Amino acid sequence: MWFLGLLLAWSCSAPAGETLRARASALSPVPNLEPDPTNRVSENLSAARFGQALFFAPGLSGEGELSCASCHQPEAGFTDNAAVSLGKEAGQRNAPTVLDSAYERWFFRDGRADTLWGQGLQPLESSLEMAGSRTGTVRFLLARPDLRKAYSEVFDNTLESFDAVQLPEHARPVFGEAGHPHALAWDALDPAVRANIDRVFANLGKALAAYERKLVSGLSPFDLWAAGEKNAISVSAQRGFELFVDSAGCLRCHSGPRFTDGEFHNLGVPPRGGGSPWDPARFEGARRVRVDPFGSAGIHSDDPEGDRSLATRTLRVSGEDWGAFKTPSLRNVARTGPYMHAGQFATLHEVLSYYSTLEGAMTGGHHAEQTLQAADLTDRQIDDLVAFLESLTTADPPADLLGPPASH
Amino acid sequence: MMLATVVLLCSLAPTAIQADSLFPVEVGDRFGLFEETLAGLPSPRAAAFDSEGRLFLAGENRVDVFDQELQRTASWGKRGDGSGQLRRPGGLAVAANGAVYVSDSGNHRIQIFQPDGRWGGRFASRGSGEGQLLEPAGLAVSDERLFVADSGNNRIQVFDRLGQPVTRWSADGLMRPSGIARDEEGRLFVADTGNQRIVVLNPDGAVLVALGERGPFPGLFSGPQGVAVSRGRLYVADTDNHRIQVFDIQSVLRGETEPLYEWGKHALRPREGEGRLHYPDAVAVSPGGGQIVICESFVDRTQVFGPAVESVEVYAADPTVRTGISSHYGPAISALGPLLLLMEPESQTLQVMDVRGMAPLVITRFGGWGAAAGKFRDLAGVAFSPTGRLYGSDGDTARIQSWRLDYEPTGEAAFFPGASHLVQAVDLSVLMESEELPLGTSPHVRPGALVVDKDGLIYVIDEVSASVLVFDARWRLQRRIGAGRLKRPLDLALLETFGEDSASGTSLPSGEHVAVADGDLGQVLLFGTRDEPEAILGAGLLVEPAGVTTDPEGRVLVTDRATHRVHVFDTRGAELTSWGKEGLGAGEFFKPRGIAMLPNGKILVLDHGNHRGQVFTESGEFVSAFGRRLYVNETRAAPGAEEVTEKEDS
Amino acid sequence: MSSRWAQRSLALLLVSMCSVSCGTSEFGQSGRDLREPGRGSEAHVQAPDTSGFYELISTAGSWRVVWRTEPSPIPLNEPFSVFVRVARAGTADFLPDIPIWVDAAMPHHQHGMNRIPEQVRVSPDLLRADGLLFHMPGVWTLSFDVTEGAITERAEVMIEVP
Repeated sequence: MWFLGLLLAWSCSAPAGETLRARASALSPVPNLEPDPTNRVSENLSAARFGQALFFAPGLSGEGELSCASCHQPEAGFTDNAAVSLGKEAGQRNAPTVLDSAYERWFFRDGRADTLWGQGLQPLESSLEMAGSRTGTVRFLLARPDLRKAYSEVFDNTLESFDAVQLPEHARPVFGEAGHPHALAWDALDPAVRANIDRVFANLGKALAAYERKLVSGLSPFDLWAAGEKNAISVSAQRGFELFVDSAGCLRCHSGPRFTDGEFHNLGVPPRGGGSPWDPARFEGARRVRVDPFGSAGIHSDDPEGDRSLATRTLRVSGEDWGAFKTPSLRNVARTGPYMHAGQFATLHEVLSYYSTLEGAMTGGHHAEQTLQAADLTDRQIDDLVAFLESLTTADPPADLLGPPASH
Repeated sequence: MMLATVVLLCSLAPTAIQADSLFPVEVGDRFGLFEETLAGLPSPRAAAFDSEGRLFLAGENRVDVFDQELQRTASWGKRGDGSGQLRRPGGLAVAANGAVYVSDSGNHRIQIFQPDGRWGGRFASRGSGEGQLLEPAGLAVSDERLFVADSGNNRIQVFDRLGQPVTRWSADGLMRPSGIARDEEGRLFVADTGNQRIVVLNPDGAVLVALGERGPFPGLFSGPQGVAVSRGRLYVADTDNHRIQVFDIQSVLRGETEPLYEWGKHALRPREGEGRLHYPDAVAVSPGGGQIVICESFVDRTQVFGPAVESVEVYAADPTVRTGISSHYGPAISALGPLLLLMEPESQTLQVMDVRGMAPLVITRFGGWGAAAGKFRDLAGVAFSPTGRLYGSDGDTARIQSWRLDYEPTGEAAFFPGASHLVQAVDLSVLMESEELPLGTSPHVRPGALVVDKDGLIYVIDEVSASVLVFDARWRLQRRIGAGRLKRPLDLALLETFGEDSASGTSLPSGEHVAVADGDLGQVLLFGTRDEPEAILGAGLLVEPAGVTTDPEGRVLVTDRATHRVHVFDTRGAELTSWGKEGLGAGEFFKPRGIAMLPNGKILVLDHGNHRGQVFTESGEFVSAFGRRLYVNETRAAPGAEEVTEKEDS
Repeated sequence: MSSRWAQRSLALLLVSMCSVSCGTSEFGQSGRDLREPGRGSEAHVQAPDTSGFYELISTAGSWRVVWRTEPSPIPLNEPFSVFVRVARAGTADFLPDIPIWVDAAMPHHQHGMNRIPEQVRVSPDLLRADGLLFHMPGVWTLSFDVTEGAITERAEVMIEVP
């Protein structure tokens, strides 16, 4: 007795009879952003304006002169076009873009945050990045009358409670290092003061997120073509799109209108600088996200038991997550190089060459499962795919969002 | 002089971990350079140094002693269960006063020896109660206590130095703990093999931290069996990953999972040593810190390594190496017509092969690692039922699971990923709880090899009670075979009815019987309806029978793992023929295990240690081999041999 | 080696029904080309009943599993819930408090979901599993493991997510 077999290319099968244009229109445009229930000020314009001021404020961490915009530069697609960022020290991973980031389910390349407002706080305290602390940030705010006023207009008067308190230069809990000077200073603070610092810190994250939510990519030539404009993208890009959705199999992970599943996969990309893979990525990120106080289920969340926290509660963590990084969105990908988690590939051509041959891939020794197959692309197919990816480039967000807010 | 230099280097503090380097530890502060092989001791499973730097190795049935220059100076022990005799020792510890404690695994006891080999006593016996052991493995000793990895009982048992049981710890739910080491603060480091991790206990047995999960990456493990502690570092023999991982103990106690470094290149050529590792399962560091000894019992080898002299990449495995180096078939196989059911321990999967063509073809694969139904944590036995259902047993979860196979061996063979469908998962420990058990027996059960008969009766070896449990198709326990008689049943097969041999007038009893290969008794026992065996095959001839099957004519075929031979017994129980010897060529074996009948009277031997299967005619002539290229290539030398390599998806 | 894999497994993909136990020999069952979520073989309900529930029989034949998802059909990469009830095969009475485990995997890619569903007893005989996620397009197997005593049986259905 034989079976009916299906001849199947190695991506999902295309429903019979649809044209390429119809498939494109299913992937276009990016839907409107839903409000974030975990952030009560996500739609608040005053909060967004405050957040914009914070985003471009040098020294926000209470240390040095870096701002969020130092590594998320508007003119560089809100990245820094560097393989790995240079904060206080050289970083270990490539800075993702802030454009469209509000659509993400998980944040950072390892998914260690599950709220946009929680994500924005971690670089302030990371020793590699802005090298400050939440206490340093509060001190920074206290010394800036304009920001202090904006905070109290948007949120509450918690900042006033610090007038009588002598805050140390830096204090914060330090993950895994109870003896760190910042951690010791944090432990020495009065619990009520700590709670207030955390409240302010969380609110700052929410204001930053309210601003970042406005950085959406808009319509690209691909969207125009999908809507019916026949010459909006080149023939080469159209061929590239067909490869993307069919034989090259990219849609398996780069699915949906943003061309990402937002989840985690280990492609075996060799580490920058050589050697064996060392970055646990999702394996560590999944553990951290579940204990993040600034996460969807934490005490600062405005919807701790909602749908968002269900995903974090139900997360399955295992050794299989080791080395798995988040699939990035491909919208505006042409602007956000270098590519991969440590910027290992300078150009899109290099990325596609890797997918084509998987040469040098390191997916975990000879006992590991392997589900990624080499795409075996010709040079012309690679060119076509690059043309398609370039057609996902959009104009910048409005100019008044690309720097500190204009003062009234 | 070199030792002094190395000692000096080793006493320097390790360098701080750099943010962008996995291996920050300086050359001279790491091991990695292969120095020599200590050959001669088969199946070495344990290594320990005394305080003077003498090395003790335990394996097979004896203990070997080496001086500080690693010249063998003494050797004692022989196979048996008398005082001073050993059976598959799996652990060693040397006390400060020089007393040598040996984990006599196959005899389920601890024996004490003087350094010169004079017997100093023994204690414990087989069982699960207080003071009893089941396949004890690693040992650690303090001034007052002996800590035993009581592997078959999933616990650590603590004795005083005279053998009085003190207490038992199951910690955080240990599963087949194999190795144990103790640091200067009295903390215990346990290789929790079945849980793919290292568990650190404080001196009272409370869990301080659990390190690791299953996987091939840094800080992950695959069936880790050996541990050693030296100078603030933890050394783990990460067995199925073929490497040693080294951790800083203070980091581990803080909950960090990153190793300092690792080394070990997987052996590529058959039996390759020279610094390449193949299933390292025990590790010991010299007291001077200049040498580290690694046992690989699977390949009968002990290797000694010294300090690294080059950068880390030279000693560590190539991370681009992909699947396909070696088949690593597990020991059990089953055949039904032209279909073979095999197991792959590294991935905890079962695979079905269609052997009709020139090259055996994998047609489907299922299972995988996990605790959920349909997954495995310790895949032990596999079986086809006569109606084509597939069975797999899991020693850790005590489950037997079965699948329906949607595949007909007619027409063209091809790979079908979804051809198997889980039918049932049966938890034997729940089943046994509800049975009326003899007094003192716990429902703790560890299923191994199994067979299914045409009426749907399931015969499964239980390693805890050393007996065969028989369940009907509705999982009611019908009987228990061989309890009290068997010592270490490894495989079983069913004999159908057959008639008398008229020439001699004698024959094996007719009616359905179960043939059980017992690796410690060195016999194949045939059980009928009585408790006592009806017949015994191979007494005095077999050493470690590990695989058994029967052919339609009622002959019994047996593989012997220790002598590397196949034996065929006729219906009178007399040996009809045998062949084989240790080696790589056609008709040669290395620790052969499963054996099964193929169509047209052909015999398939799962040549386990050679990562291949070999096919023979019924008279023992080599026909073909399949498996990984490097091992199959070795069979080419035989004239007229067919070279076939297994075709499969990677 | 990878292209051999590609050739073999990609050229012939079997999409089959897997929940049928019709009493035929266990060797060989016809496969079914599956397009709609929840489609069973001829022996079972092909369309959902009036309450939107589909029906499955466990592979060993002991259990009748009725289930539906919310939303339906199952969306790609969006969380969904599964409602499920179990009765003994051939009977109508749904059993209260019977252990059911709902899970899913992609058999062709050898991986499961990256979520562990959260289970809620909506009423004694109705279980809801929340938080399932089919994060990749392709063929998924949705499975229901029903346990009674020592024996767990599985009912499963293949679902293609475009």
